[in-house]
Amino acid sequence: MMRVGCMAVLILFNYVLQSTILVRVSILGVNPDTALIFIISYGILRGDVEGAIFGFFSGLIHDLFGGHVIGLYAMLGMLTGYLAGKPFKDYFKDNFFLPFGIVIVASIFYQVLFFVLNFLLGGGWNFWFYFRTIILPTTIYTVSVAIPLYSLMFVINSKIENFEDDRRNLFKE
Amino acid sequence: MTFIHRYKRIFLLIGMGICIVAMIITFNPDFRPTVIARSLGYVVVPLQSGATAATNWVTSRVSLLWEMSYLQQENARLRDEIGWLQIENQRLQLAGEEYLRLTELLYIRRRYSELPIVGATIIGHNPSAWNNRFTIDRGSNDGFARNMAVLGDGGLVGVIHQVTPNSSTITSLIDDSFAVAVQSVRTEDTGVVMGDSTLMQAGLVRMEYISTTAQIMINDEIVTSTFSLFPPGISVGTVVEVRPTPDGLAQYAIIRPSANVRRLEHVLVVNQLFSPEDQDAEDLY
Repeated sequence: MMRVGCMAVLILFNYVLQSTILVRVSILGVNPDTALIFIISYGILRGDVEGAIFGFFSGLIHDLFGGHVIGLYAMLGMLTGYLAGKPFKDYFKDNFFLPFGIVIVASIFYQVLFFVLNFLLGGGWNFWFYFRTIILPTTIYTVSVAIPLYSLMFVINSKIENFEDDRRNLFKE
Repeated sequence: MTFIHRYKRIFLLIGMGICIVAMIITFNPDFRPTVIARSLGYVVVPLQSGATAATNWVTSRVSLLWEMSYLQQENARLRDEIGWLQIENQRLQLAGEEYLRLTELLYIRRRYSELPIVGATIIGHNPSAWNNRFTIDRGSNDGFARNMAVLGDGGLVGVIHQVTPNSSTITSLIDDSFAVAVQSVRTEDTGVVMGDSTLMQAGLVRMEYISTTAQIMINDEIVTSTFSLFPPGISVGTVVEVRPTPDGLAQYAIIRPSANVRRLEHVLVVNQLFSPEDQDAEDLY
């Protein structure tokens, strides 16, 4: 319960900050996609199922407040969270450079998939243009803020895990 | 929980299926479940207002330090300008009174000046670089509804896409889901202005469906036409470039919007829905 509450607050605050403050620091018309970093971090730390659930709700709030259709960002978030958590057991979770690589791959995957779905819903088709002006700058900008946000997520997650362990021990005795 | 873990692939497929069905259903904006957005809005909108106010405050303080000397010069220049404008204003008032007398004689009623307009503040932007949408701090409590026109900075800014009691989402005119019927002021050639995501970064829009015989030229002013969903005669922008379409059957133009959509803080909402049917042509001319 504690975990669900913390993550709901995190998703809500991330959306508010992304839609108000982060749009002011846009470079070349793109902003860092902090929601994507949180989805990936959560997937890495907690595995594919929880990553997919976190990604789904993180995308859903985006859909509800500014999306053209509902379900687009939710689906992208779900898939990204699932894939980021796939090799869950093989990671060293306190290696902060690992998410760096995953964010690059996931950010490109996420946006190429967005391009395909957006095209199916009546968007533009000029892939290289979008790659040059949106996908590549957003990826670079997102990667540049990935490590501090992953560390933040790591700290929050270990706090919650400690708390859950304490509770479990209490019940045992 | 172990149940979900065992059948996670199936759950993922079910989730994707739900998302795809939701996308197809909500492709028609009338079917958006605004109930959820409405209840979440009571939490998110105050937070957004607060965060935007704080950001604006910090930005204004920082820029104040930089701009102090420039402001003094500007103040002196503006004082001179006010003196000149007062004289000009008196002259225009006389002309305006004369105009009113003459228009009454001609039974001309200009709707534009009678529009019910409500001001609102922008409290949040869609963080995605693929779209240009933003949220304002007023909604259906102030009588706003979907498809109302949003003005600001001397021209059309966009259209209301979704309302909740205390906020509305605006699709700006540079977003690629936006379209409005327009005409050129000088030649009365008609067309449709559409947002284009390849022009969005430059803040430009595209005007499509111009006939090959149209005499449209660079710097022509483009306004909303009587066929649009918005009140007619609202400035949309000026023509930057005119070209024939690749198939040669029509022309298209690149338009620079009158309103700089990326630099807005406040907008004006036309608090009334228009539809082409209730505007009879005699009323406008």
